[in-house]
Amino acid sequence: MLPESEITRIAGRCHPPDRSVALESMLEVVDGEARLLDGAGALWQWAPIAELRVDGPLGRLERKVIFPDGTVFLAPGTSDIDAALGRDDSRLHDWERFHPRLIGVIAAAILGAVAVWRFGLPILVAIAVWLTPGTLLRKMDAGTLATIDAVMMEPTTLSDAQQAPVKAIFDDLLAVLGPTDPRFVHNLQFRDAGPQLGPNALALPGGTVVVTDELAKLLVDDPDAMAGILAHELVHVEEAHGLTALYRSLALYVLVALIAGDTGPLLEEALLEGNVLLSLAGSRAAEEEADAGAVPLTRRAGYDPIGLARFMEIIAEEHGGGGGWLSTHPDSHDRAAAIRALAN
Amino acid sequence: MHSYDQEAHEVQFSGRAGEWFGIWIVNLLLTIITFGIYSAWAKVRRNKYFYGNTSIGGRGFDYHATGMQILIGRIIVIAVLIVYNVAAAVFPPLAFLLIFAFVFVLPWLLIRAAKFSARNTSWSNVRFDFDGRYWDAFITFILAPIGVALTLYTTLPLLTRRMNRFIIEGHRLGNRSFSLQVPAGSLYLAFGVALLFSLGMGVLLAVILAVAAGGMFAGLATGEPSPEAVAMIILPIYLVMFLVFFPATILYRAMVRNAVYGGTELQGGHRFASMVHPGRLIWIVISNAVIVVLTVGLMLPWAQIRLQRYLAESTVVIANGSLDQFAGEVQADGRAIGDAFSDIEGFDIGAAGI
Repeated sequence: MLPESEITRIAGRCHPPDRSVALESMLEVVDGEARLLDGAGALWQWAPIAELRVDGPLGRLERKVIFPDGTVFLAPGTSDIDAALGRDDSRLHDWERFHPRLIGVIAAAILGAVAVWRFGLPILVAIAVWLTPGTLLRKMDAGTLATIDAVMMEPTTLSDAQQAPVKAIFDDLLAVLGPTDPRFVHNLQFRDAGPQLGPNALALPGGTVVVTDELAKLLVDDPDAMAGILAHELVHVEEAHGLTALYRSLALYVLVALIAGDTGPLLEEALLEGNVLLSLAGSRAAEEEADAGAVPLTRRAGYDPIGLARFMEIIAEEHGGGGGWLSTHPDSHDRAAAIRALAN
Repeated sequence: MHSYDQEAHEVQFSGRAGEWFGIWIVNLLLTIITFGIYSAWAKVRRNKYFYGNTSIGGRGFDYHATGMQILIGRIIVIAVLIVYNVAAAVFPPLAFLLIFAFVFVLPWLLIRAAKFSARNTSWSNVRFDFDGRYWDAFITFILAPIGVALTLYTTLPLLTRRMNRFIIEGHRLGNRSFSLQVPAGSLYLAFGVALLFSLGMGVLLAVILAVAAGGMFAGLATGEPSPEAVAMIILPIYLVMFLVFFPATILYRAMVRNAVYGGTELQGGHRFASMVHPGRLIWIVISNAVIVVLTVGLMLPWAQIRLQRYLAESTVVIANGSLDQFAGEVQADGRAIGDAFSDIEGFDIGAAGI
């Protein structure tokens, strides 16, 4: 007696290659071969199972079996096409099923998102900062300086005698800062920023610190305050705050675009606005960190850290406190209070 | 004897929120643990689910791109973005030059993106295709918008028509082409309604804010601007954006969709109809956004299914004869750079194609 080979039949529809016409048909699997029968049961075509292309299961969608010539057989989503063809690629599908197990997936996704936010992103950004070569940093400084010179600042009007005391304070701070990352080239620049920017200072990622003429004139009798401000800017450089913010906003932008996918109208705008608010929060945190780092640095260089607090209070009186969730800098009153608390 | 045999087929959407939630959350988890790499395969799964569950006359759509194609496109786009940002930081004037050059690359990218999605989309086993001429795209998406801005946006409906015509007439289903005939009047009507809505909402908002701000100005006059006062300056901008500008945009798009579908024909006398109710659509979009935010994103799959179902249910295809008559050839299209760019930069011109 001959051994009876097992025959499995699945009813469905089929499309000839690249044609929209849909025909009733039957898929018959015998001995490792798939046969396509038409509505009347006549053999249409056949192919070894290994030559078929089968799309994995997805939701309740029809299952698609593609023959080598492009003929498509569609089986109902409920049919057991995988068993018939001796395949098993339903692992993803099993995980996706609406099942209590999904609670675990949700928890893992939330945990993962938090981990990316708390650790993944900072690590990625730190690696990018670490990989940034010194020449690039110097070029960035030169480029930024050229741009601000062109659009918002004029050459300094301070005499060498007026610049000298500020330079001396800067050198005192550098002396106690000790050996730092060789990629940073610390140098002090003076610029006339006009009344709009007023008394101000800024740090560029490569180690350039810019002091406005207005600031130097304002603090000509207060070396402690000047030391505090320069120390604050040097901490920005040492902690790579500018570079970190640049990489972070770039990475967040790509992450939101890739992970969120298309969130649909309105939500996408809300997400982008949220991103801006978050970067402002990050900027305020960096300012607080720079203030906190400035206190011990100022003291080690032999200046009184209270000077920075005093300056903050002057600024607060003249320009208002500022701060709040729409500012790049925290409230000046709060900053002064925090510096006083740290200094004592 | 009959010369034609027209039959209306409602577009059906059979996606379910619970089912899509499972697929979505697994997509999300795998994307997170692979540091974003899986997002390319997640996109394929998402499109397969939404296309596969959308059907006309019992025949579904399908999406054929592979995760690897999309991943390679995305890697190239991200690499270019990084190079651009670094170059801009090192030498700011270069950024200007690159943006200028980009203006000439953009039309090409738009065409590539539309071609990639069209060639990887099929309905009832017949593939779509897209073909658009570079200079036509350049005029439509670069020059014409500048011209519209110069006319103080009074010619916006004409630009809308030009863009839709570029997209729709560039598409083919198999060997049949689409055409679009839509009178400017119906688009101007949409524009007028959206404008009236903005004016009405704007006046209403101004009155409310004026009342609310009454107490604030007293505080401002005393000298120090409080954080509340600063918020009072910024808040109206957000309110205008989310309560006036975005709803007006949705209103305009809904009415444009109806007009454009009504004027679209697929070679062979097949016509389309869209009956989106603008008020209903605004309600769905806004309530979706609120619910998604309140549930920290967990209701996003539900919101997506809800929107898709509404759009599908509001669409009808009036086929001229049998749905069996379509045929075409598969065009290979492996380059996903335009597609990846549109994902990352968030624009999508192919959406109106189907």
